[in-house]
Amino acid sequence: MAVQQLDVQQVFAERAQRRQRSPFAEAFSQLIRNRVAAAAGVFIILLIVMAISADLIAPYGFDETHFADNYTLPGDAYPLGADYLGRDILSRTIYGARVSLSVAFIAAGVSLFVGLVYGIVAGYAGGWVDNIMMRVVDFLYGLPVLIVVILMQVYFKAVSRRAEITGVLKTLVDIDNSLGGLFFVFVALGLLNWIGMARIARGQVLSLKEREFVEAARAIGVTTPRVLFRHLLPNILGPCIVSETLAIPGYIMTEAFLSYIGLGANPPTPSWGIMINEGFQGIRSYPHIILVPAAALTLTVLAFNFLGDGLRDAFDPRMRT
Amino acid sequence: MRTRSRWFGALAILTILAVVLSGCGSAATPQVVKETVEVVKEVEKVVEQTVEVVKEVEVEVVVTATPDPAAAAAEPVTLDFIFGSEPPTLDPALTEDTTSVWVVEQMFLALTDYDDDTLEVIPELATSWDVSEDGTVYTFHMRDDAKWVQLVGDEVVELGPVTANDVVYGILRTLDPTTAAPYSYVPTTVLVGAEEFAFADTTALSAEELQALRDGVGAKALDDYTVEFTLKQPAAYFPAMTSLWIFRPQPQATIDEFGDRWIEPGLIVTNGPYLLQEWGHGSHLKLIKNPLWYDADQVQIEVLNAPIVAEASTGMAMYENGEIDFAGDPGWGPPLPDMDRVKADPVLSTELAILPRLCTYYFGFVNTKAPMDDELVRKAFSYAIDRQTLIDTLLKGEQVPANSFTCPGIFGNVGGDPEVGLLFDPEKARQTLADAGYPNGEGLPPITLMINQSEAHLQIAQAIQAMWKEVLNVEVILEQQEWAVYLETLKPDSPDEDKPHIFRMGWCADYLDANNWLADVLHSNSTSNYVRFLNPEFDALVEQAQVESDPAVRADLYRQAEIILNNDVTAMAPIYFYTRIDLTKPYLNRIVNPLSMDHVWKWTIDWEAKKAATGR
Amino acid sequence: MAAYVVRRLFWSIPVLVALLLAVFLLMQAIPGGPFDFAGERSLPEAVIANLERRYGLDKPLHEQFANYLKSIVLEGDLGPSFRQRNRSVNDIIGDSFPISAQLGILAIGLALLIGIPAGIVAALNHNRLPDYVASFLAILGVSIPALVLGPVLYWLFALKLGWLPVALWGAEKPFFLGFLPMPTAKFIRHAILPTVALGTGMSASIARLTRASLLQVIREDYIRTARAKGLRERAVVVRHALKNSLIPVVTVLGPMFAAVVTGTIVIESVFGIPGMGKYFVQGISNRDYPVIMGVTLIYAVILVLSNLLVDITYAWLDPRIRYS
Repeated sequence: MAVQQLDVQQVFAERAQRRQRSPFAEAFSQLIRNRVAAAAGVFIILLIVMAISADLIAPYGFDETHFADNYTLPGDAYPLGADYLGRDILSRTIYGARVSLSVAFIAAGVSLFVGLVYGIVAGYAGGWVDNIMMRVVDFLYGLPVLIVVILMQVYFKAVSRRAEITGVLKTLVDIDNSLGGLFFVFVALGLLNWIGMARIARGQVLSLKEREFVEAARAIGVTTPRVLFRHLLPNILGPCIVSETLAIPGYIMTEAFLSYIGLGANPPTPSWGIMINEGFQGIRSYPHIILVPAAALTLTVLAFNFLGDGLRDAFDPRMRT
Repeated sequence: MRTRSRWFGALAILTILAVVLSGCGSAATPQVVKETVEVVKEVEKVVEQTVEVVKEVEVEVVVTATPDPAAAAAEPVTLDFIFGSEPPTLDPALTEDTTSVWVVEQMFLALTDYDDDTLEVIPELATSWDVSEDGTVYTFHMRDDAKWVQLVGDEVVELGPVTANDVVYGILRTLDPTTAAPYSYVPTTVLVGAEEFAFADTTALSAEELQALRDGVGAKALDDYTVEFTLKQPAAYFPAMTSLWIFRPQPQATIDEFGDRWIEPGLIVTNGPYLLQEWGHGSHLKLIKNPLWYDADQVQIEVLNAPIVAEASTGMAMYENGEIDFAGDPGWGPPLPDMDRVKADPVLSTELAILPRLCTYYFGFVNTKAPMDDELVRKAFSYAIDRQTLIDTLLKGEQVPANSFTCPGIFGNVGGDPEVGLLFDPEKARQTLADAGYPNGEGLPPITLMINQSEAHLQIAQAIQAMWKEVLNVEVILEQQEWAVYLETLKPDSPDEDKPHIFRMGWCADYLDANNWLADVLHSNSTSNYVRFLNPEFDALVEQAQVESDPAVRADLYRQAEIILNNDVTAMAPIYFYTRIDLTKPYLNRIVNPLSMDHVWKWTIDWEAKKAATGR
Repeated sequence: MAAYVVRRLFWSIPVLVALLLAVFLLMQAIPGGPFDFAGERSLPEAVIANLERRYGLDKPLHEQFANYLKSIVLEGDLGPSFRQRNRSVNDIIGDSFPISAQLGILAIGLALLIGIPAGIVAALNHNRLPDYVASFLAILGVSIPALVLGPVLYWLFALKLGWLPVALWGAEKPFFLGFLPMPTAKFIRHAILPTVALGTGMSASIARLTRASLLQVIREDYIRTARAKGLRERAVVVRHALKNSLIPVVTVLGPMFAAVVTGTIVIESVFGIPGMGKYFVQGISNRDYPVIMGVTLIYAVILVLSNLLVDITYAWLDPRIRYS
């Protein structure tokens, strides 16, 4: 009896301690200690603030044209110069952050959530459930999603004016137009990446579920959902977050790429990809036009990577030294 | 287990390789080998059939085409330039785009040609031509020294003379509905029987019926070197039309044998100043001088070497790096962002040449769509466009503000005529819009301006959008569509609700007559009548001009038509007449043709100067 | 295992057919047909009708699709190109696929060649100078998109310094095994910039992953055991740690193939390389249906095979994973 009491006390003490230092709280304090990652985090927060308050900060509108001033070099009137239509490059870059950030967060959220749940369930269940679930993943994985996205983008851009488009399609097209032509980019990137996330999560579960601590948990009668989300999830979250962080720059770059080839944002929505394309045309005479959006894109991606690195170190206790 | 899985890993790699290889290697290589065999067969056959003359020529050829090693050491005079896109075809019957036209011009002779300076129609294959009294029968007398030539490996092989039968075969193949040539509709308005044949529904016809239609076309070989065309009505521009690629002689034996692939290097049979030696699809074309062409001794440039470069900025870089001898058609002129720098640069500015190009850039109003069905609204929008400012601040290529549709250089044009067209007049623009019932733009429904996706068009559209805002206080919505969708949206029979109110479009000359502009584009039954300009008076004028033979009367008819189009009805707002903006290295003497059908065989290179400049 | 491979390949067939059908229907639905324009012009209805008859587009859709599948299965024929009559889709892919493959293989090769050693060096020197340097370079490399790196390299090395050619691809036929070019000076000069532009990001992400994974594995019990047994450090790393640490690296190779497909389209456009991506984008704007479908099919087949390869390698590296 006494021994049992002691055990219970010990368990409670451990729990209390664990609650105090939940993985996330611990990760956060760890993150703050990593100066580079913290700086990156601050950069991203500033970027978010900038994107939200673009209307207040930007000296000009993103589609405000001053033809007489086209190709103006950086100076008093245009801090970072003006593009081929005499639009302020600084303002367009600020507004461009909206596109990149919304793509980053929406796509990452969708992919992480769907992928994790799907992958954990498949990997843990095993057997025929896993088989079927993975067949579905294989099916989707066999699709060159980018190609399908390109074709869908072509379709929706082409039909957007057609009078015969009605009902659900019409709604989708309207949503797409209100998002500057990027709705299907969001959808597609989510589609593209939850599959990868599911595979990683499943792979992790497969190699973890035979491990002692899982077997121990099962042996003492812990329910399946609890095993999954209390014991397995924290252990696989690390690799998954690392992988998702690696993916965020991918989302940003894919959007930029689609916009670069004219299948992303609708002009004059200032996507950095479009701006890079425009800048590339005049790269011989006016390299400043491509420089600013290119730098913005690179810095943003860099910040997400530094933050991701910090997060990885913070989340994965075994990485710490 | 381990060893086995490793083995299967290797197996998987092999499988991928196998698939990869079967996907590319086997598809390409063996076919080429097979075709080469066929080429040899073809050559033997022809050589057997022809008389001794061929052998003589062959001896001559071997000397010119494979010179002795000492001479080979001296590099041939080479012109380096680029193509802006891969020519979709080199088949004269199927050609529809400027790049293909440019190459076809170097390889295939036409009955007639244009003088580079005067733009007069001059003889090429035809030495002269006669017109019947009523102006409906044209007889062309051809020279007898043009030859069909094939390049097999390094050897130039002659395959007989170019005859009137080849001319007739060429036009009939173009028209043949089973060929389904995109430009087959062009002769249908002129040539007797052409429409019936070209537009025939082959599924509903027997072979005999189709043959009867073919025989009904007004193109006949009177003898080996005389060809006769019968027209539906007099057409003074017909000799100009015979310079088009679709009227050029085509080599029947080769086409029969190889089908659509006959234009590949090694198979293609041509008769012009240059021969196709290499065509690396997507990568480059290489043409060499045809030693058997009748004027070969006049041709200085021996090799045309041109990679395909899709980006204008890359083209400009290659020019400045000295990799190419000129920047311009069929490649890229200096990109817009570089224009100021080029003009300011002490060297580049001397290499810059701006010449007219026979094209007009215009904004069309959809005349059937409210409120653009009101001519006052259309006039207000046209008056409000400051064309000169657009040119000075944006285009920078010395383009000319357009007052008419037909551009200068075309017979019957009224470009620059002060009585034709609406000029920039902000006061009148506001007044006219107020007269239409929309003072200060109030009460106008949302107006849409549509362009096809392109940076250049976007720039112009946004500039004009800003002008409309400033002058008329009208906020115009700008939309973009990709080209294929764009043309479907604008097609005359598409529903008006899909169409924009205003759209941008351009037109370039096929031949130098206003008929190609006013009748081909704006007649109420034209497929290019995107503006939905349906004016019986206008139709009557251009129809009358088609059959009229007195040039002075014709010119006046076209003038009247332009006045209806631009002043009375204002169906469109012409913006500017194009220019060709070219950079040419000083060692290249290049004669530029406004129709972009350059005659490279007339160009010369100061070879020593080029070698010095490029460090060869 | 053999059964597994066969089954996977078998299962990919319905995927491919479904994909082709979806693309086929989507293309029919997209406004603007292949013959709605010729160059800069619209064509008269009668000419369009002639063209459609010539290519069998006047037949009912199900018949068109069935004929298409039939010619693929029976003759391996992906159909004619609507825009370039003298070439079939097989010709177009035969010309452009090797070029894209060369670029992709060079880039992935570069990525593995730089990425894995850099990751190992960083991990083995954990929290020491080489680790910091490698990690910083890696994070920098992974952060520069090909879309930025391409134009920057182009501007610096081709435009400003003039060391390397500004455009085009230098491979000359014949290709060994159908796709391997002779490593001529011309080929190498043309290949450097695109390969670096495409491969940098990938090598950096491989380096990061290798490092992270190796660090994790090194802490595992069995590595401690191996060390305790007195094995030399080198043997521990190479024989035990490295192999297991490559598992996550292998998992990203699948997505990486997909990334190469995307990346080549960008790089092909920046450097004017006539690869498959260029034809795909062109095919879309031309509404050249067979070209679009053919290229899509090839991409899908590459994807299926690379995924399969990844899974097999996965099993090979980690015996705990079994397929049956």
